[in-house]
Amino acid sequence: MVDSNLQTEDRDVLQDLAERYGVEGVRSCYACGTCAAGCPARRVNPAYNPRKIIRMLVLNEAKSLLEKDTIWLCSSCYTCQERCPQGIKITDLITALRNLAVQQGRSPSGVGMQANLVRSQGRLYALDEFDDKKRKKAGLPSLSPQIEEAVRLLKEES
Amino acid sequence: MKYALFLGCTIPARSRNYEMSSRAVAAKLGIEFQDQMDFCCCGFPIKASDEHAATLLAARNLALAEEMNLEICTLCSACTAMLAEVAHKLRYDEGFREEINKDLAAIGRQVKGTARVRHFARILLEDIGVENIHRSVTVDLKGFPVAVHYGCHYLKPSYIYEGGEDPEAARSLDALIAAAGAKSISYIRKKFCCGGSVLVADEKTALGMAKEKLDQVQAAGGRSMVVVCPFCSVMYDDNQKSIESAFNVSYQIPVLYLPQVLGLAMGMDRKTLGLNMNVVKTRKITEDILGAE
Amino acid sequence: MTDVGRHPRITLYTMSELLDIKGYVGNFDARILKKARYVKENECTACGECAKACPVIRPDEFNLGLSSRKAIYSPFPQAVPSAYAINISECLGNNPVVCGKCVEACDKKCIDFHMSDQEIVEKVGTIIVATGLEPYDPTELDEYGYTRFQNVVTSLEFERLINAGGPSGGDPVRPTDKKIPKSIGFVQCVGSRSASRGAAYCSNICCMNTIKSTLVLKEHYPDMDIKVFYLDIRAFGKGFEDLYMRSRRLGVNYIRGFPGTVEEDENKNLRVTVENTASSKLEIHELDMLVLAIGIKPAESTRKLQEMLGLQLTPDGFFLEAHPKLQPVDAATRGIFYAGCAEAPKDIKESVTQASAASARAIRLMHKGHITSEPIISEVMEERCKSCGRCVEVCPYKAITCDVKNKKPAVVNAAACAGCGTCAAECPFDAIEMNHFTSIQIMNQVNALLEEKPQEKILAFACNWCSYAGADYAGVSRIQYPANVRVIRTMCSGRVDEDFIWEGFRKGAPVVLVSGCHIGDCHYINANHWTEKRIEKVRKKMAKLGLRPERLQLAWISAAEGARFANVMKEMEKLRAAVTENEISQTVTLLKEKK
Repeated sequence: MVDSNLQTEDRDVLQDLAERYGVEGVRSCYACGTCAAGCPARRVNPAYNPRKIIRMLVLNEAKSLLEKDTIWLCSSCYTCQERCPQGIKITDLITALRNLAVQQGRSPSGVGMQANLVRSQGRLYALDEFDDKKRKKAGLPSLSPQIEEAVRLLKEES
Repeated sequence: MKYALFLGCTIPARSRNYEMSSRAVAAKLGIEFQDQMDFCCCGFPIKASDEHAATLLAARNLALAEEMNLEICTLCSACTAMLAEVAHKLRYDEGFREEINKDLAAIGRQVKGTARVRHFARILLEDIGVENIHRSVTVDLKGFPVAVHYGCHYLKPSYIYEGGEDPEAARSLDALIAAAGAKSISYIRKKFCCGGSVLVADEKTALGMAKEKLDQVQAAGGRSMVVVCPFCSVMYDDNQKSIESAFNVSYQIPVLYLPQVLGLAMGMDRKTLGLNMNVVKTRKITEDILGAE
Repeated sequence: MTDVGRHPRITLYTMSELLDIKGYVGNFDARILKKARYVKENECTACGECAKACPVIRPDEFNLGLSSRKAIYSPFPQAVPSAYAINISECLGNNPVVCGKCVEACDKKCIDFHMSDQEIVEKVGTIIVATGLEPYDPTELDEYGYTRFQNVVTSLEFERLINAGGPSGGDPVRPTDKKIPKSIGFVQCVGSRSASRGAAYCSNICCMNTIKSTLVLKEHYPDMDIKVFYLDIRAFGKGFEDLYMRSRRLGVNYIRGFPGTVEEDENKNLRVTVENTASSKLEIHELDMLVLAIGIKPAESTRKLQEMLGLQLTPDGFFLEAHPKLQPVDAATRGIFYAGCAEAPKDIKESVTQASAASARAIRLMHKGHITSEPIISEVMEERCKSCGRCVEVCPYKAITCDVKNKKPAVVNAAACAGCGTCAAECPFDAIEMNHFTSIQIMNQVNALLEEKPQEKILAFACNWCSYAGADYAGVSRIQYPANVRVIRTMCSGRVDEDFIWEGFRKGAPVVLVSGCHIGDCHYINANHWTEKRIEKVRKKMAKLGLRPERLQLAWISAAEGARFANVMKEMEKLRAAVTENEISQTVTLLKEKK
């Protein structure tokens, strides 16, 4: 039995998405499959299906969607978003879902690691002396190892 | 012609060959790059976990560019899309701009929404033009067959690139390759994504996506690939061996950055273009083109 | 078509363009540019000897470039009139040194290079707009590979291929090797039902056209593998579902899902990737040929014609009918009718139905030789008119003319005037009177209604077609609303002169309501746009005078919205109760002084 009443958590997710991206757009999905048929990730991994993600949103199953790893299989290539006949911003929506999943502590470990690196040094790879030496050897200018101001900006923000 | 060069994180640390060849080709064509030591991460690596934080980093970079009064030239496609998306929003959404400026005030910066961002390849095409590039060619590449890979963020999402090309019918890189005297071959799945963004979540899917394209390039007789993004290069070049062993295939397809090909046509040597740093050996190609050194 | 060409009372202008049209029902003047044909229409027997001699070869538009024609040609075998024509920009010219071969070949000597374009003026009583459609060009949907892969064709091109009189004699050959395909796919909704690329509406005909094509193919090639990629099959017409079921029973494979990518292999076969949404599986179909069922767009000439005739378009760009249910073939302007895809995408049967209706509607007006019009029309009082041209600007029917330059008074065309009264309300010099809804009549009503205890009354203006009918509907539905509402009926809310509103306040009305049809539903094309602007203006003036603008309200109430009428009145009552006697008396004094 499907409970026709929205679960509170599902409602929260939908509300979040509505505020950020206008979930109304998602409701106009008529399940034509253009997104799934052109998706490069789906081609190699049948577990991933953008059409299903949108469908689950429309059917108010956002909560279980966040619990699954599938939203992390999107390669953000925008093919579905560019082609969607209903103009749904699918890739942007998946980014929003990922943000929500991270807030709930569900994401692949690498995602959090990347974020922490950026938060602590202002860039993904700190340029240490060794790097600098290599750059000099190649005739490239040296760069700041870390960007303190960016670290400060993100600290203020969170 | 002067631009603020935006290197991002990956290129200065991992893709120095891309940086070297880009600087060399730019200098040859009269493009001046202004370095900005204070540019931080574009924001893309943190977008999946916190889009607002990513937006702030992008906005900070744009604020710096506005202060320099220069257009940003990017080399990495992920940086291009991240910065261009935020620049687009800042330009057209006043409420958004106010919100961002509130946050930027903490570090004493402001954005006006005037910053522009373009990828190096697009600047070559639009500001230098194929005619001028063709004129600076000194070495005949004799129609050397290369498979051009556009990747995704160089073209998409298309709404952020005003006056950009249709991602479904992109021609810019083919035109630049032709201007250099090489031949851009047509192959199936040309618009296919490299899979780089999936690497962090599921390596097998990511490698499988890269394999899809390598298979087609090989089938079409491409003897090298050309990319304009370090992530695509990681997938096709750095990971080519992993793909070969994971799927029991063999390619040996060198993967070059666009400026490396342009540089070869302009008579630059391997060292200047950092061709020794490409993972899949490029010597065979350069010998074919330039003759044994 | 041939019958039309032969009919003694039908004049057919082919190769002609409408330059402009002026006038009103019964008296339109159409200026027509008849392009030179360079072949004497009445003498040519269409023997075709000239075309045989012509050395110029061009793609044949009728066959969508799938075959060729000459520079002197007949567009298609049944073309009317049955005479050849020269495309002069392609012709090498009648110069004995260069060409002139057709002139030699013509026994009847009917080729005449001295012909020139002719301008003709025709007086007509009624007009039927039947300008047809434009097919959608699917090149922008690059994932389908149209123009990149030769074996991807549009449904229109395919239609020529399976036509017995077409370039392949009815054999559906694929373009690359001219062989009959063993497998063929159809993609539905190409350029239709899309918010991002193509049009958002359903093009109406593509489902059935594809089903028909599959039946034709199955009849001739029972073993052909046919697949249809669709989203919904819309087989709603008479007998349509039957055809659809027959197609399914014959083994046509209907797959629910649109292709994501189309790729071509070395044999020029097509590999179509599609998400089968019924099974949630990604499928790859190898096909010899792919047909894109393209949608319908409004004809290119639509906008030009719309401006010329003062007609309205729907947001989709097709012509807007006067009423979607009760006047589906009439334009809002009297004497103009629509037929076919000019009004909306439709199939042949529907087009013929609408065309028959349109001609009957036109005949109904024409056969009497005169028309009966309502006496509710406006009249210019010449002595007051200052020839400012404001009335000309606001008239939705272009019924008023005024020689502003020579300061000649405005003239209302009685046949074209529909009686909304907007001109009378907008005239700055009170020089236009609206018969049966005169200023004196309405002012007297205002005075009579507010004679006793005006502070307890709600003064409401309601338009005849929507709001007044809405009040009626509230009444017959026995919906309760405040009994202190006093309604004054006008034909259109556009008639409500600002003087009426000021007079209401001057006589002590606490609140005034102006109500009309919803925007877009106005029975006088768009006269209520002027109402909206006018109310905005009056409210600004009120604010300047220190009166609360809330005391003047504007509401759109349709004839079916009895409940809404009641609710609006309840809101008005709340507003009224909030207006103090002191406020009213201040207003009255202020306005009396101002007068």
